This record gives sequence, structure tokens and C-alpha cells, in this order.
Amino acid sequence: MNGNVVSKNSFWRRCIKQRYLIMMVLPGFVLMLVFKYFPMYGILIAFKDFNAMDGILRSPWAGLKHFQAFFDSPMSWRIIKNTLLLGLYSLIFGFPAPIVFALLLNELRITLFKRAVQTITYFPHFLSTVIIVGFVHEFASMDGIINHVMGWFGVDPVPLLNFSANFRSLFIGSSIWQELGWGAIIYLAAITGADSALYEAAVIDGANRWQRIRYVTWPAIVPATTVMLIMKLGSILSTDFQKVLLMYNPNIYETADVIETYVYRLGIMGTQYEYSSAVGLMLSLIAFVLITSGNYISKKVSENSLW
Amino acid sequence: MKRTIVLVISLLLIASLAMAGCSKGEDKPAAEDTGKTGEASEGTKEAGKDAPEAGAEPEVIKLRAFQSSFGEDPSNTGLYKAWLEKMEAHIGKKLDIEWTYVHSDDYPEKLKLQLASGDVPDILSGTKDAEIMFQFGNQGALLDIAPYIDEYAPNYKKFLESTQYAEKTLQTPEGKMFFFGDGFQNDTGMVDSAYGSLYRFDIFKKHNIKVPESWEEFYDAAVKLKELYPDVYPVNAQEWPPFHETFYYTNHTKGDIYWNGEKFVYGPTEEAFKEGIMYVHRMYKEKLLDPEFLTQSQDQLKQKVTTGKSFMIPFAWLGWWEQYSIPEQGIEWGAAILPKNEKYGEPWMQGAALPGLTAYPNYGTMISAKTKYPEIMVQLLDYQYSPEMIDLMTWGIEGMNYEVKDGKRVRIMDPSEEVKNAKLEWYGEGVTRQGFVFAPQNHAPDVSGYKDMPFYGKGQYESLNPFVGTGKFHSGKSAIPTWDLAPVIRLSKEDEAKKAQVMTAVKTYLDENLSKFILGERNFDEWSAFQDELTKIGDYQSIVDSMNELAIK
Amino acid sequence: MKTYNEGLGSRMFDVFNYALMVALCVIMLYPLLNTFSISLSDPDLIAQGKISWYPQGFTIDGYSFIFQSNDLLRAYKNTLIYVLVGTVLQLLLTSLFSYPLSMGNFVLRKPLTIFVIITMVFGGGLIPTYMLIRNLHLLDTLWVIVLPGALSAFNIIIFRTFFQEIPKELRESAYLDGANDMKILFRIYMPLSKALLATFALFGAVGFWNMWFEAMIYLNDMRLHPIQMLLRRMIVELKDMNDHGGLQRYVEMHNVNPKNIKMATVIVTILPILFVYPFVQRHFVTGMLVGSVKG
Repeated sequence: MNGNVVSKNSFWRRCIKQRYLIMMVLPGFVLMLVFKYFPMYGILIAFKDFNAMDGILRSPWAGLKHFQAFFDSPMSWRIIKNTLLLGLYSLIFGFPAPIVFALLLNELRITLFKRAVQTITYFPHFLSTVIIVGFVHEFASMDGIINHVMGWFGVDPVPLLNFSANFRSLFIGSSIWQELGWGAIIYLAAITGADSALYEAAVIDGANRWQRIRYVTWPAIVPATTVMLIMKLGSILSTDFQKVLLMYNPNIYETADVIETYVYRLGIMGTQYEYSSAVGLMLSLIAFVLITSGNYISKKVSENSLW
Repeated sequence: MKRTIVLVISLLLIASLAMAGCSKGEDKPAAEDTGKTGEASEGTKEAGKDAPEAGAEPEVIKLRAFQSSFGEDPSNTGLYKAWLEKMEAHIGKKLDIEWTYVHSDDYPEKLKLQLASGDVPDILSGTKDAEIMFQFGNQGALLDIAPYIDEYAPNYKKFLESTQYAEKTLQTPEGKMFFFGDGFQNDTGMVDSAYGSLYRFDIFKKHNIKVPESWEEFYDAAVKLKELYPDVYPVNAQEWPPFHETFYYTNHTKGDIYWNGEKFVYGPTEEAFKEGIMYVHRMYKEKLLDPEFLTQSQDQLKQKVTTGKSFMIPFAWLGWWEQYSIPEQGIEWGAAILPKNEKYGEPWMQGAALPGLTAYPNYGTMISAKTKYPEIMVQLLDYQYSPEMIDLMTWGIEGMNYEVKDGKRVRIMDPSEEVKNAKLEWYGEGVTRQGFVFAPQNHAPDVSGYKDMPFYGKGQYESLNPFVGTGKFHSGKSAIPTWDLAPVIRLSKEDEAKKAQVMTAVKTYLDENLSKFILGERNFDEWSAFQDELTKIGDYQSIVDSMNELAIK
Repeated sequence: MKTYNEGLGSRMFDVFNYALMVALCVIMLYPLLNTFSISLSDPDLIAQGKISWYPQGFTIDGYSFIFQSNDLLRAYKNTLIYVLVGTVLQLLLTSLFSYPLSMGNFVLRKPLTIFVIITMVFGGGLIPTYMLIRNLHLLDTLWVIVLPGALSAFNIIIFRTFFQEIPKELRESAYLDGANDMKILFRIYMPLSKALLATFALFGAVGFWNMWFEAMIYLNDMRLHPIQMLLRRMIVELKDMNDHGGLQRYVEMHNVNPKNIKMATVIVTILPILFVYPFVQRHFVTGMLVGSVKG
């Protein structure tokens, strides 16, 4: 622990000293090695002309052909842009929502009410995408609730899903609606880590509501929040493509068409594992870069980081 | 206590790692080797079992069948027993079949996994995408049945002979055949379909409006209904088939590359195509068409048509009529054939039932290249194409599943207790297919399964079976779309991928702009500019040319 | 109860907060209530879009149709086994793995963290995974459901983060008392992390409850199928009939409506798992840490 210069010798000595800890890690390590790492040779498909009878390793190499194919498409930049923007907006609006909700929930003082709210808000998580999108269609229709509310402000009803400008807000809004309560659970768990002695001290010191949140509750959830944020960065590009597929129509391709829906429409996934692997690998690489840089930034500005 | 649990788990995991280590060795050369070991061990097992008659053909044929299923497990039914009896009699051997049923929604995914991982059961159902069968066939996973046809498949041969362009459609350019095409038998003497237009007959009768027979009449009827019901959008459309596709059939064009009877052409460049889009735009602009027709779900549509918000659907599966009608409230939906466009002649039919015997290139049945008994597998599948087997599998057993009335066979829709107890009823009501899926389908019992509905044609309201109605008001073979009789061109894996890439980009741009033209976001003055843009998105013409080259060859 | 200083601003905030929560409850309750109402309503009224908050034209046809199936109980039993075994295994392995990672001086801390993060981003895809599972002879076993997903990078990182928040002093004083790391984990860390364990027990249980893709890919034997697969099968069956025109005949014969069945299916699948949360919530109590430090 002390001593900045760690020689090879002392590395092994530390290993032996911590053998008990290493044994604790072992089962998980083996499990991940077998089920996560071993199949990774499948990534090679992206660089091969896959032939089922030859298997992945023996199929002939194809170089970067399949990556090239993706970028050759005149649509590739648009679908990359749409994927990125949808992920970015989801992060900007979807990430803070459950945190704010958890903080507000924590301020409720009637325990029974608090529990009821918690339980009810987590319900929508359990409904399938198909059902949720069904509600989106219902709410966004000409006589749906959204047009109804807009009507109060003198806006004429329109089929909202006909316009590409509305797609992202409807998509992200409905996701927040579905996942708000569920997403808050982890922050509620983190809040329980807040030191109640500190809380009481703050009250005695005459701290107001805002100050208590700011200086007691918030610090308790910062570590979990930072870590969650970094990990969320990595999933920016993985859109819920089933949901997009159910929500979009050709008229709003301009904003709604994302990489995965486009590859789906390509319809060659059936036999061209190479192409979808290549696209998947690209997305993974970008995710990896995002996580790494997120971690780097977080390390610079706070002491919280993944590694 | 806890420590022991941990210990046990660690041991388990280490053991599993060891296993993984072992299998790693044989897994390195991946699919091929594992496939071989599997086969070898199977072989030894088999050999051990049949040791007494070594050398002789084994009496019991063991095989694995990997099947797409559409409901309950059919392998326990009376019809299955009858099927098995006939099969065994036909090949003169006992069958021991290990059935694996996978539900049709999950099937394509699992099939691909089976094929790609080199673990191929003896007999497999195909999927809608014939490309999968061709490509895995070319990779050597599937048996080439072409050499067996003459000797072992006399029944299937009849299907091949009566199918137009069967060679191009069902074979690779090298003449290999990797699957038995989905058989279709139509001995009703009619060319018919279950698609057409739906109208609120009670409203049309009430206001004495003529049920449209042409697009002009369609427009006039919509205008009149709008005058009578200003708050209503008289015309609506199904999610599928969409409104503008109606014109593929009435204007004889298509939104993609299609066979026009002589050669392949790209539909969207044709005037007939533009006309259709302009018609839809006009309906939308004059508020005759529900503005939500592009985005609504089936539930929303159903809500509108059952509450008097729409009276006309230009193109639909006619079976919807019953769910749209509410007799207690006097809401009556009925059918007519598609409106005619004089310029192009008789409308074509969606999903036309071709007459006679046809082998379709999708939904075939495949045989593993590794099967031990290729001849017997071919025989088994071929026998399903024989008249007596088609009868058994589609009509069932006389007195149980169907009866003969006036010399015609009619399905018994409400089976007796006896039939139910013998498990002789049709699972999923004719949807579940018996035997090796996909065995040939017979059109007549299907027709017999639809009930009569209100139908309008030639100035008269009648009550007709939808198939009978469409058959009656169309003039037979000339109503079959040219693309239903087209040669299906098989490209190499690489060219197929290239085609998909070009055409998906083109189609994306097309679809997106079609709705812009329809909704008035783009003006039809820009149509020729739009055609240029389309060319720039992807070189569809070169694809059309290469297809024509292969078609003519 | 604690005493708070009650300013006007604070009261205003309370009013706003409670109002907001009530509003949220209303919009979050709607989808479930609507689904529930449709499952119990008359098909014609459903078709006309008249059902919103409560059932009309009461019918239980959808439910009786589902409960006809003999496989239902077996599927529930399977799901229960997968949920229990899977969740326990997940919590145990994740705790074991995360505890050393949470220690600043653990020699493999950084390499192992990166080892874990990589699995979050990269994967080999379905074909090699399927071949691995097949070669391990895990097809059609319980293990294929519970083992491959027992450890996820997300869980490990969150566990590690929570464990890091537990004061080092606790561990150090336990060392002095002669406790080893295993003991510290089970006797000190896990009891202190009840909220965390409860949360991830819930996440795990819900995950295994909802799981169907793995079951679809790796379980050919329908007798091993969980409830999600069974109900999926029913829905697929209905859909196929719809596509092929057999539905009307079916509906007439069995006198049921597909919409009733679909929504009843949803209710039957999610209701049991919904009731887990209230039990989990009890562990979300602040200040547990403090008590243990003092005691």
C-alpha cells in the first residue's frame, strides 16, 4: 500500500498475502472467463466470410469489407447521427430524471404515502414495449391526451407521430414515463447510506431543506451517480430498437431511423452474420471509447471512477 | 456453513472450467469438428443398437425433425397417428422421429443458429426467407436433392413440372436444389383471393350510394359521404396493406423491382406508380382520408371503423369484416373487389391462389447434408406431396373432419365429442400443419373454412364466401399479378448483399419521400427531380439489368 | 419524528412535492389499470375504445382461457426455481467478487475492474455462445439459465461502489479482532448493505422473471419453459391464427376474444412479481450504518 515503487517481487508477495481475496474473486473470474471471454472469438466473424461448415475460425478472411459496406451506404451518416442524438438526448433527459425523483421522494414525510408512490411508479416498468408503444400511439393520436392539452393553448390537433420533429420527445418521454420509478430504486438504496447523524446535526445547525439535500443527501448518492453515469455513457448507442421499430413510420425516418432499424430493414441479417457483427463491433468500440473517456474525465474532476 | 457453500460453488465452477478447457480443444476448429464428433458418436450408438443386423438396412429409421409450430404440439393427435401409419407403410420401415417444435415467431432465429453452429437435424422446416436455405445449402449444410428427384420423388416432380420458372426459382444456377418448395394445390377450378376492398354496406345502402367499381366512383362516394358526415373521414386504410399499394394491383405497377411479364423493371419510375401516389394525395388533401392513416395501430383503426368514423377501406384482408361489423348496432361491413382503373384494365389480386399444383420458393422443407438416409428422407418428404397424403393432412378423415354434401366436401366446423376425444380435431383449426412442416397446402379446405360475408359485385349485394366472391368477379388467370409468376433470381451471397444494400437505401429514400408527396410536404412538380435523387441514392438500374441478364439466360 | 425547521418556503415545497407525486401516480397507474380493465371487459366495448380506468361489460373469459392450460402451473414452478436459484447465485457471486474490488489496496483491483468492464461492452455473439453451451452440455438444463448471467459488469461495479462507502475502520478493527475477509464480508458488509442487497435481489428476481430469450434459445424441452415462454406461445398462436384467418373460427368456437387473452396474459405474468417490491422497500431505511458503527 505504501511505497510508490512496486517491484515485481513485491507484486507476487502481495498476491500471496492477499490469496484469500484472490480466492473470493476466483469463482466469478472463472465464470466470466468461460461465458463472456471464451465466446469472444466470435468477434472475428466481422473480418471473415463466414461459412457455417468451416466454422468461425476456419472461414476465410475478408479484411474490412463488411465495415466498408456499412460506410458505403448513403444512409450511414444519417443513421449514425440519429443513433447518437437519440442516445445523447436520452442521457441528458433520461439520466437525471430518476435522481431528481428519488430526491423528491426522499423529502416525503408520510411513510405510507411515500411507499405507495414508490410502488405505483414502478409499475410501468413491467409492461412490455409493445404495450407501452400502444399507449404512445393512443396519447399521440388526433384525439389523444397530448393534442387535447395542446388544444387548451389553441393548437390544432395533428397526428403527432407524422412529424419527424416529435419523434425524439415522444420516444424519450415515454421511456422516462416507463422507467422513472424503476430507475429511482438504486438511488433510493444509495440514499439509505446517508448518515442520519449528519442529517440531525444539519437540522440542529438550522440548515434549510435545500441545504440538507445539498450537503447531506446528495453527497451520499454522488458515488453511485458518477458510476452510473459513466456506465450509461457506454450504452448511448444501444437504442431500444424494438421500440423504434414499433413507433416509427417512413415519414419520420429523418429523425427516427437508427443504425439498428436500418440494419434490420437491410434484411440480410438472416444470412450475413458478418455484416451485423461488423456493425456491432463498431458500436462496441465507440462504447468503449466513451466509457474510457468518461472514466478519465471523472477521475480528473472527482475522486470517483470505475478504475 | 457459508464457507462450505462457497467452496462447493467454487469447485463446481472449476469443474466447469475444466470441461470448457476440454471442449475448447475440439471446439477450436469449430463447427465442422463438433459436427463430426456428434455424428460419429451417434453412429456408434446406432451401430451398437443394431448390431445383430449389421450390414443390413436397419428396420427402425431414427431421425430428428426440427419444426416450426403454430400452436399446440401436433405429434399427439389422431391425425398424426394416421400420418405415421401411412408413412411407415410407404417406406416399408418403422420410424422413430424425435420432434422438436419451436414456435413460428422464434423459429427463424433458432433455425439460423442450428445451421450456423453446424448442428443440423435430419429434417428442418424452412422459413419465409428462402435466401437462408440457398446460402446454407451452398455452404454445404443441406442436402442437394436434385439427384434424387427422378428416382425418389415422383410426387414432388409433378409440382415442379407445373410450376412456372421452377428451375430458376427453386434451383441454384448450378442446378442444385436444397429444399422441397412449399406445395400448394388448388383444385377448386378458380383463381381467387381473400383480399379486396371493405365498405360500410349499411351506410351505402341507406344513402343509396353505389359501391365503387372504379377509382372515379370511389372518389365520388367519398365526397358524397363527406358531405353527409362532415366530421368524418370516409376513407381509412389498414396498416397493411397500405393505401398506395392498392394501386400496385389496379395500376399494374409496384414500389420495387418487379417482373412485368417480360422482364424486370423498377416500378417507381413508371407513370402508373405516380398516378397512385397522386390519388392518395388528393384524398388526403381534400380531407376524405383519415390523416392518421400512416401512423395508427390496428386497434385504433378498429376503434374508428366500429364507431362510424370511417366507411371505406380500399385494401384489406376481407376476414376483418366480421370484427368490424356490429350487427346489434346495424354496423355492417362488406366486400367488393378492388376499384378498377380503366387505363390499366382488370385489377390484379393480392395473394391469388394459383390454379393446379405450385411449388413456392419460400417455406420449404430441408434435409441435412449429414443425414444417414438421404434416399429415405427424400421419400418421406416426397410422399407428403402425394394426393392421398395431401387429402389426409388438409381435409382429415371423412365423417370426422369433413363430410360430403352435394358431391362437395365440406369441413365440419364443430367437431363432435368423439372426434375431440380421439384428438382428431384440427389443432389451431387448420393453421397447425401435420407431418413434416411445411407439407403442401390444399386450397379447398381453406376456402371451406371461411364463412359467407356480404359481397357486392356487378350491381348486386349477395352473401358469398370471400374466395368465391373474388373468384366470381375477377376473370381468372388474367387477374394474377405478373410478379406471382416471375422467375426468382438467385444471386451469389455477395451479390445478394450488394443488392440488399443498394435497394434498402433506395427503398428508405423512396418510402420517406412517398409519404412527403402524399402529405403534401413535397409538391408533385418535384417528381422528376425526385426521380433523379433516387438514382443518386443507389444504382437500382444496374441491379435490374443484372437480374434481367440472369432471367433471360 | 425528527424536527424540521418549517419555513414558508419549505411548506410551499411540500405542497408542490405532494401534488407532483399525486400527478405522477395518476399517470403511472394508468397503463396498468387500463391493461387490467381491458382484460376484464367486453370485447365490443374494447374495440370501440371505451375502456380506460375500469372494466365495463365484465368478463373473465380471457383468464379462464389462460388457466385452461395444463402447463401453466409447471411454467410457474419453473420460473420460481429460476428466479430463486438465479437470484441467490447472483447476489452471492457478485458480493464475493466485489468485496476485494472495493478494497483500495487489492493487488488485482485495476486489472480485474477492466476485465469486468470489457465484458460490458464486447461480446462474442450468439453463435459461439450457443456452441459453447452445447459443448458444455448445458442445453436444456437449469444452469444455462442461471450461470451465464450470474455476473454482470453493472452489478459488480455498483456493488463495489456501495462497498467502498463502508468505512475502512470497520474492516480494520475486525482484522484486529482476528476476523478473516470472508467473515467480514458475511458478518459486516452484507448486513450493512441490506438496501443494496434488497435492491439487487429485486433486480435479479425481475430479470429472471422476465427472461425469455435465453429460454427460447437454449431450452428446447417445453417442460422446462418458464411462464414468459408459455404465455408468449399462447400469444404467438393467436397471432398466427389472425394472420391466417383462422382466428374468427377459433374465437367463435372457444368464445373468447384475443384482446382479453392478451391483456389477461400480461396481468398473469406481471402480477406476482409486482408484489415483491413492498417487501424489498422495508430495507430502505436510512441510518443503519450509523447504528452499527456505534454498536
